[in-house]
Amino acid sequence: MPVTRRRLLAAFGSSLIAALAAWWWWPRKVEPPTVESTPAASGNAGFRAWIDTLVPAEADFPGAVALGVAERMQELIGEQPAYAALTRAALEWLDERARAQGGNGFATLPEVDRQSIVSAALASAPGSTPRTFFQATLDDALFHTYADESAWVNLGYAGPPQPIGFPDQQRPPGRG
Amino acid sequence: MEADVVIVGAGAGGAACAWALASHGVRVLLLESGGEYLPAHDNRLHLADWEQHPFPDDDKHTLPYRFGPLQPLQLQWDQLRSWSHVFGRRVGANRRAQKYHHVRGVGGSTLHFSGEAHRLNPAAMQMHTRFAVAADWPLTYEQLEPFYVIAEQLIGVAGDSHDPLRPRSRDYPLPAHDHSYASQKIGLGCRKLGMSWTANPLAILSRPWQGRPACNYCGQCARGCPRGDKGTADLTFVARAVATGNCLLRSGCHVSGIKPGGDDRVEQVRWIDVQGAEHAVTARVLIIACGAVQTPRLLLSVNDAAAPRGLANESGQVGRNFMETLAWGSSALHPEALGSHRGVPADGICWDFNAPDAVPGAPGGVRFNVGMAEADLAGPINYARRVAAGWGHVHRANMKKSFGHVLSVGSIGEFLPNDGSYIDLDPGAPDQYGQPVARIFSRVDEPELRRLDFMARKCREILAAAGCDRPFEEFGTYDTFSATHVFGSCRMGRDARSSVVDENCRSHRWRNLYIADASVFPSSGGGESPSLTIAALAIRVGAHVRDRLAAREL
Repeated sequence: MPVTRRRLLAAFGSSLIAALAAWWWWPRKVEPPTVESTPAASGNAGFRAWIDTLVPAEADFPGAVALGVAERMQELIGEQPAYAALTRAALEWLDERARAQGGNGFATLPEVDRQSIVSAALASAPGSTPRTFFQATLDDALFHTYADESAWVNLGYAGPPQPIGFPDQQRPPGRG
Repeated sequence: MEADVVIVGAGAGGAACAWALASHGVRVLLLESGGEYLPAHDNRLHLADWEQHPFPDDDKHTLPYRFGPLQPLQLQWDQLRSWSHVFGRRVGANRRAQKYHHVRGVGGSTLHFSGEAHRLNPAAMQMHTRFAVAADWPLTYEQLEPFYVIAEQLIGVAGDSHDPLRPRSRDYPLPAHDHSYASQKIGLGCRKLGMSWTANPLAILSRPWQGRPACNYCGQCARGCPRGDKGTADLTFVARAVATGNCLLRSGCHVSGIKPGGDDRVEQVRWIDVQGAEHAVTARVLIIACGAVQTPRLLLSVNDAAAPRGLANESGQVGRNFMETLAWGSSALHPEALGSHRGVPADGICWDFNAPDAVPGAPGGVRFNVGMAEADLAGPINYARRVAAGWGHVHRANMKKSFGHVLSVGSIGEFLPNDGSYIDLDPGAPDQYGQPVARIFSRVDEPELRRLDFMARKCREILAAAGCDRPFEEFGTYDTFSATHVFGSCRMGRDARSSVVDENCRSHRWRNLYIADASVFPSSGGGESPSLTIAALAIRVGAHVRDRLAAREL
């Protein structure tokens, strides 16, 4: 999903402080260069690998890719020209970094090497393509991943909020 | 239907006024621009993706408004900029216009409020006499108190009836909610600091009440209550008013004009229904209850030789004295797993600084409250995005370590009127009905900034005393306009030269025109939520109107 005002506002509740939280990092949005096309099919594997590195599976956690988050994000990115342009540029950057590390594209690298490239993206200058891509896609991947109940295992969360509610609210958690 | 009284707006004020009239045999036409809230359609709290869906916020559920330019931020108040450990410090040279939080619909903003049902501190009703700021209320707390009682009974308020600040003639109808486990921790912090921590009076049922179920503590009042345990105006006042057979509710009906007549009386109200058809009715009495942004817009948009500056604007005060929400919130992690996503949004409150002389250096009070749900830190998505640091396996480990550990303390404070805060008509494009759009001007002055600084410091102190780490995010209204509570744009007063309506909320000139919403507030109070006071005032307006109707004076 794009880093837009509407998107951010929609992600938070309608309460005052929550909406402030949603609003405040909006000005950090960086306009990427205008590129017309959406991520090419050849970029799908790279994008999936990127999301898999940001939100990987664990023994008690399916990870973003298994929950279909990469596909959902690509669909939504495809509807947003600016975000699509950012993604295309970022995927090219990832592949270049991968080749510099001796790989044949980001998707072909082992996890530890992908992690080092993610770290490099995070360490890039504020406003740069890799840094912006990291911030936007991590936030979006988490937004979609944790909307699935299978991601809640071992968190101590007995949601969704209804229809049961939390009638044990006045006691320490887990004590019924 | 023949109507004695036309009410515009079915929020806390219009709904309560409709009940006060209809329940005594007065025929009411209640016009609401928005639709009715339908939990089966509008609420998703039973689904896994619930956090992705706030209360509906589209054009159907809100009215348009715009902002005038906001003030530059000053280096000396830089400590009041919002910030987050994930996203950094709020940037920008000027204060940013974010949002006027409101709901266009039957029930109005009570549909997404957190249920706080506060009486005003009587000491906060004489700000001009005591401090030469704002204006005095032209009625006393004692005059309003019987109407608070009626409102509390009808809504079903749960609270602790012992309140030394606000004398009461009758106990709350329902016992206070138990503090959540997380709220107990904040209470411990307050007590360490020598501060009190009490049950927050809430329009949320602690027991089944008059056919509605008790709350099950899901904490998501701001996303709309699917159970009906929250005392929203549609379920309480409107439902009762309609049940009398004397109140005709017309939702989806947008008032498009008010025609002044002779003899200083409003003559006609026009509206457009949901199909686009135009209607008009001759009004024996007209009561406007559209809130502190839309009520002045409606009055100012009247263009008539009899009211050349807008309706009821003989003093030039319509739209002036606008007051917004002064707010702060700090969030931090507690070492213990608290399950802090559980519980009603604000079950605990500290009133110790609520009196208008309680905050050093600035007249006007403040309050402190539980704030996790208000900060929307009560579900996995927001924990993932805003609390747990890092990415990859580190992020997942941090999710496990942090979920349910967040404590948030929120604070709301008095906002004094100033000449830079007002509502006017935006000269730009009109709305879909061809009417001018409201424009909000806001300026936060030095007293508010000093008060906000106090609020921020105290929030941090409470969290630290509760055993938390340093905050991981803080948000405030210094750098952002974000207001849920708005007041004062049609001030109530005895002097027709400096106010819009009298102590009965009747226009000083137009004898059959009343206002029943927070726009009449002469001062905002020291952090009290306004909905109960709006309802009490509106019931009082209803009592006044029905007495005048009975006496054939209207």
